[in-house]
Amino acid sequence: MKPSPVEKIKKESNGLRGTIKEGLSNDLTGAISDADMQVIKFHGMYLQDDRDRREERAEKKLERLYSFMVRLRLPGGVLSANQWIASHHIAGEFSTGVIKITTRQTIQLHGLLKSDIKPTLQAFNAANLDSIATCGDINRNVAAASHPFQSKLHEEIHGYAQKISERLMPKTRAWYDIWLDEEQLLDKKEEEDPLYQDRYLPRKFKIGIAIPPNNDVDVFTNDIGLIAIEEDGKLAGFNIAIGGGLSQTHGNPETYPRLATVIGFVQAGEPTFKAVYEVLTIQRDYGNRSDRKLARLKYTVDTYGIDWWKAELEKRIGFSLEPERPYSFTARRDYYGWQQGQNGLWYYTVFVENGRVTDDEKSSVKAGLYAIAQTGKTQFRFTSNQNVIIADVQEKDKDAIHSLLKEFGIAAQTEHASAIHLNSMACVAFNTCPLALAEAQRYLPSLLDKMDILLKKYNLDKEQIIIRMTGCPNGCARSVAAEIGFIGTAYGMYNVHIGGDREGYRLNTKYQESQDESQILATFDKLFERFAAEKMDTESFGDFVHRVKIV
Amino acid sequence: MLAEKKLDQLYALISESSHADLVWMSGYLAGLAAQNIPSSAKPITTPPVAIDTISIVYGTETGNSKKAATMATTTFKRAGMKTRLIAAENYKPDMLDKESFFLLVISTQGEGEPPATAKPLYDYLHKREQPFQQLQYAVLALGSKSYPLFCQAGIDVNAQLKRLKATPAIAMGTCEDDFETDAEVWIQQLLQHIQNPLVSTPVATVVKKPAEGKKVFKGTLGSNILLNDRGSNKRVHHLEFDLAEEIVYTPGNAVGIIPENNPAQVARILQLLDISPEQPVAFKEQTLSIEEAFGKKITISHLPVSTVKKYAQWMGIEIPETRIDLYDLLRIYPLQDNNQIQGLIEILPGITPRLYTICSSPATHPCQIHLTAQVHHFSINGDRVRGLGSDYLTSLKPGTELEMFLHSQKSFQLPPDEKDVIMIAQGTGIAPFRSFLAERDINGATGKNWLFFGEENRVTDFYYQSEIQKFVEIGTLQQVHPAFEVHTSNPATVSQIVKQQAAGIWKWIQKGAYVFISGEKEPTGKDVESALLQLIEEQQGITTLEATAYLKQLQKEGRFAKELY
Repeated sequence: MKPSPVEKIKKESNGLRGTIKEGLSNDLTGAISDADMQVIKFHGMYLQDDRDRREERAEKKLERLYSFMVRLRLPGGVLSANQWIASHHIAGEFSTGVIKITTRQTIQLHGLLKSDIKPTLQAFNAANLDSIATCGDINRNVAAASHPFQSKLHEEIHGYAQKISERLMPKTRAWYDIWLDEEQLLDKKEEEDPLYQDRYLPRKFKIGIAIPPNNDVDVFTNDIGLIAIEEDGKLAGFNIAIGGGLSQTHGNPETYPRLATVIGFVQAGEPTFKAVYEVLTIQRDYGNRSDRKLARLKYTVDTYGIDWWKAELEKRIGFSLEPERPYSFTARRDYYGWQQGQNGLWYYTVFVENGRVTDDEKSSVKAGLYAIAQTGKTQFRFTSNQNVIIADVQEKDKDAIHSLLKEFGIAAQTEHASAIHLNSMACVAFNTCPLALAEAQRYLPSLLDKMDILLKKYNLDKEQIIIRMTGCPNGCARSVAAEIGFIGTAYGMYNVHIGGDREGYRLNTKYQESQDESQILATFDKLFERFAAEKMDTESFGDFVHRVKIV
Repeated sequence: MLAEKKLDQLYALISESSHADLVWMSGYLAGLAAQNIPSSAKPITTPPVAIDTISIVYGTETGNSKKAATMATTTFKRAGMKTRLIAAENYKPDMLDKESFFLLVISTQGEGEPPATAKPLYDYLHKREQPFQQLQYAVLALGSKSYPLFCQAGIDVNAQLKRLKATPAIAMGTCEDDFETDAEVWIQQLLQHIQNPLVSTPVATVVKKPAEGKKVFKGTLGSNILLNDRGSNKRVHHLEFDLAEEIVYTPGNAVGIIPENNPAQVARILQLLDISPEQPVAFKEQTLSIEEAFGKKITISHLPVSTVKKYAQWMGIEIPETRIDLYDLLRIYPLQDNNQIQGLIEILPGITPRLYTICSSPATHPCQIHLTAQVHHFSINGDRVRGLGSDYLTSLKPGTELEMFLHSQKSFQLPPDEKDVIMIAQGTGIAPFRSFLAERDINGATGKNWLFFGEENRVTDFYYQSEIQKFVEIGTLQQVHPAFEVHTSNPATVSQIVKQQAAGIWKWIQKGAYVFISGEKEPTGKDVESALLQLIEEQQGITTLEATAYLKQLQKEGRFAKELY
């Protein structure tokens, strides 16, 4: 099979350098070359353009309004107050100003012009932040359970996220070389990369770590999901699940979303790191490198089978996987407002609609978080549901922080949002995502308002239904892992998926194709009516439609 | 000679007279003289003392003044006169006291300045106090009517010579960009005067109507697009006109357009005057309604200081030296009654045509003319105001029919297909190069092309970016070097980029490339030219003087041309 063109680009990229440096100084275009577009992903950036402006710019005989999205590497999603302050200023100076909390516990900035990238990354570097390997065919940001209040293991687990991220980093110094003007090493041997070699992975790779009973990281949607097993108040090790991934392609039946399969248990410490590392080497060696649509780990897992995978992994790690240990997830959500951690410190989870930290008519989340950061009394933790936790607050500082939360309307926004708003997510989609077929983050809030009216009508407005929308079937906001999923098919049109569970064990099923808003509302008017009439006690909407076999 | 008292009266009369007045008076007096009625009238010129040699001095920037001076030289030589042709930079001003006849051909640059080469002579005349004893002179001024200070350098020099009691042979001649016809007529008049001073023809100067070559045609505006994107500080429009007939032009040509005044402004004036829009008035031997005169013929905004001064004198009142709109002038210093309107009209300057370089290619865009026009802002009494011409043009709505005339700029033309071309543009200076590239592209020209383009903001001000990218992709354009100040990792001006590319440019020049500069003269045009001089000097290892000579030689061969404004 002929390798995909991207394989050649990676191999010939001279350690992920490509011709990015030359491209940065080419003022004929705000874009970069097609090959460099692939290479720059490994540096944490996508080339995008403002899709709202295409026609207008074309009429003016100007090229598309190209800009870059830059995503930080934040294992476990933790920022210090000073780092938040730095990010706040960088966003204001170089990007659209909006700080977007992603679905993988990090933040990204949009709208950076080509000439803004270097100053942006230099400013982030000065704040001890980087964007290495947050996109591209490589292990990306490692997600980990966000809230310390349910488990003592929380801090230890975050250490694992950090270590796994570091161990799976590429060895090339290209990021420092290109963006910080660091001198290139003369001895290329120091850049030799036993894990990624010169081919990296066949496709993107995601790792998440969950601490039961909350599955807030959506652990089974990752290529590798680690489920922390606590025994006698200590971390025993992890159940390791492989082959999760949600992306699919409209009209390509060979593609499908898949939840990860638990293949066994590994002891904490080095065995865990080793197992994770070798899953990557197997995927590196056996993954499909000719068809990128079939290159994720999930296809490699299904192509070779779980038994083969276990055997191959055991061969490479040199020890046997133990049988899966019992665990149970009971939720997959953020706990808003104040919670006290096992460590005695206080945590306030802020509702940030679709992760967009900005100031608008309703509230001043951005200004408020900035003011809170300036107190220096907190850390910031991002959740996999696109929210932020004001973290590690001492008892004595809690009131002062709370009055700031009130002053900037953050407390009100968090406390007054409806249940479905609080449990929803949407991807970026228009105007910057080149893959988007339909709106997502710009549209979902208004659709939810209309669905809230229907829920109130049937007295269902307290139901914590998980609703997620993506502008295309690639699943950034995990729309197929929701009780209700909307997947864009064309502008204003969505496939309607229902029947996912609340804990993240079961994907939803396509219920209707290419529906516009009025059709969507008519559908849910009927479904909610029946749900209200026939639901059992605490039965979730997803479980209900599944049980009564609507899907 | 006139007695001093009479002479003073005459000078007083002259100083109060408009150009049209002078033309009329000179014709009238000449007519009287020809009818031998010496007692009641005298010509404004004195019988010349014997003319030994005519010194013809030219101050030139683009070479046009030199060409006109050469024409004059040839004409006088053929008539059997002794002539001496000298470049202004080589002319020693103290020679003026020894001249029997001094002919100065001078162009105007920028804000009414003389060419750099004529600056020493210009300054000498302004500083000198001692009157000339017997100097006879004539001035032929070249300029562009696209700008308010038309032929100002010539006007200044002429006034200084008069102040110093030199004797004008005939009234100053003025020529537009397309100077050949105008210059020819004026030179013939001067020749006639020198040969037979007392029967000079009544119409002394200035061919106002389009010359024969100036073909007038109509275009219908198809589209009018602001090229700058949101957030830009500039306003540059791309206009496409559809023509009913094919107009023959070459890339590098321009069109002249006579702008019209804002109708609301006209209405305000008519309301102020409390006069019917239909009221007939005379303007340049034509009777038309006052509305049309104010709308299409007469300058009514930002009246020049000289006009305001003239108005003050005519009204016999004091008005501070300022530029002012006609509406405000009439509001603050009203006419005594509406019988004065005709007099007022005669004081006001007419609207002059504005030239815009064509940015379309005859081969690629048949039956169309495309223009690139920047909304020009300038400052009057601290207010930011829009230039009439560009404001008019860029505000036009699609469907508007517009009259224009073709204006050829003979030195600014594409070389043969096999020659390489280096194009250096600032801002709207890109216009002729879009035409060049489209023409070379469609003709499959084998010569290579190199474009330098400078503007402020890479994201919003990259005029014709997608077309330029296309020319690169299809191999028409081998090299592009943009220069931007904002949103670039290498903020630079176009002249700085030219310096950075010195070695490459020199290679191209040595291989016979043609070099063109287009755009605003200040500062880009000057800076680019000095960058070119510097690179010639450095690359060739020669002196500044030699480099200048080298560039001049290129210019002479048509391998270096500028279109600066």
